[in-house]
Amino acid sequence: MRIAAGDAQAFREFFNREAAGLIRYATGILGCRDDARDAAQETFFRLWENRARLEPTTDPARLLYTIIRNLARDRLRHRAVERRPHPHLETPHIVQAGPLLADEGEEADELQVLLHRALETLSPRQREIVLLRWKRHLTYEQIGAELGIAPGTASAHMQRAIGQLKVLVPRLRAT
Amino acid sequence: MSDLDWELLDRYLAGEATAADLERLEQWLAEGSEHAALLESLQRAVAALEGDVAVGELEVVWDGVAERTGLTSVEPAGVRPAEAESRPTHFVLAEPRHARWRVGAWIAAAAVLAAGAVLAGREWLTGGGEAATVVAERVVRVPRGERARFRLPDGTEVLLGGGSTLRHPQTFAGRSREVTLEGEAYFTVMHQEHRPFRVRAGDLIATDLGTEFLVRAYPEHAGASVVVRSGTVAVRPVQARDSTQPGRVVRPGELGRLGADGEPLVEQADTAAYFAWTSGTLVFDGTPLRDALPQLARWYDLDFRLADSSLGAIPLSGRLDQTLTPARLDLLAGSVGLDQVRRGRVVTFYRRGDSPR
Repeated sequence: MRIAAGDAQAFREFFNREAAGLIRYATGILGCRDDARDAAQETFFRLWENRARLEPTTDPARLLYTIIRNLARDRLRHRAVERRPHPHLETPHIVQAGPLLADEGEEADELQVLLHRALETLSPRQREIVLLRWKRHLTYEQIGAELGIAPGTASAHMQRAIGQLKVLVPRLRAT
Repeated sequence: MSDLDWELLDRYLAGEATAADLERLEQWLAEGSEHAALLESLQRAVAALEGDVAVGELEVVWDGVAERTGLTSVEPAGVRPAEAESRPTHFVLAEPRHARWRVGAWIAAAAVLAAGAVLAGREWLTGGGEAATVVAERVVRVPRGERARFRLPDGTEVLLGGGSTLRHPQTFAGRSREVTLEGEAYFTVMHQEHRPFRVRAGDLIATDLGTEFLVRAYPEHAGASVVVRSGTVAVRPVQARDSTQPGRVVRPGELGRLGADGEPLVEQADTAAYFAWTSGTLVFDGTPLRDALPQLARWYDLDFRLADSSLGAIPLSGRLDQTLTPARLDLLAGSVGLDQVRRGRVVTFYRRGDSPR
């Protein structure tokens, strides 16, 4: 594998392929794009620094997700204990605490990464429609109106996206 | 896994599942815990899908990686010039020489606040006719289910709502004080005659004229709105042709927003309901469920969905405080004649008797 051998061009290509998906994933954990970008930078840096230890059988992309997840979780823990006051703060910062995050096992993490990467293989348009339908629960008429396309076109994009996930998810799962 | 019916899953996630669909889904979920895990992971993965990553953002990250790894000589393969040009301007300003700083901020974490406020290692130029000065930007972000109260460098007090982000320069240089809001915030402005305080939110800019006011600009709503408690606020479109125009004046009891023609509009509104969250109560008065659910999601940090999108029209009325027990969730659903089922962080409302429970 070329990255392990120190091929900078291969590393750059790897970055181009994976960075956007990785940042999106980290944003999901950290809830903040700026933090996610910093985490992504640290993750790629660590992977490159440890490139000599990459096994030929390791999927470097999967490793990226493991690194960034751990970094992001550390960061969240840090946030929870670090109660330094804002320089212009007078009342306690947290006025109201929300419900605690549910426990997540390692398997659930792996599964989420796998599904995330499957969704990242969709085209931007497909991803947009998946989001509007599965997250914002819009009808095809509403999606069509939002994107300025015919409802039938929106539906066709969605069917293709589902078709792709149908093939990809079990395959990724088997590896 | 092989027996997962994606079409059924699609209808469920889209909120279009029929009672028969839900029954089949329940059966599938009951077959093994890995099925429930798959559904939950998929919902999480979809939730994180939001937001495109601009080429400019990737360049900033790459520059940081390249500088730290010493790979600066590598050509940026795959980045076409046309795309590079379209990067947002605020990323152009944040180029490689700040990369080290960014990483420093990440490691030190000293400036990180409990509610998720971070120092962005980004700088912006404040111009406005004077010599441009470089001022660091501070980003305060409050997770869903929380609120945060803090003061800006000029003494203005901000109460920032759940799931909201406020950006402000670390010091207010120049002739105006401008902040950018996504979400909802209540401002008690330290009025300065010669340095107006401006909130840029969604499609409009609100300028204080001596005031306590609230700005709401959530991405799921088409436009921002401004509600005034005391004093007055001027509202004008972000896209104003003449930026020296102060805009329409909003007074207490009124709501300012942009009309369909893009011009500022001022109307009478039940402003008390808008302010309620600032004192710890969420108030609904005949709000359609589809509009109320995103607010509930930010208030309690749960995802709310409807088993059937036609339920979205049901009006919700009532007051909610900050704690949500299972019994209260039942009460909430009961008040609109529905059943609810909570699975992890997802609460689904069903027509009475349709719930898979």
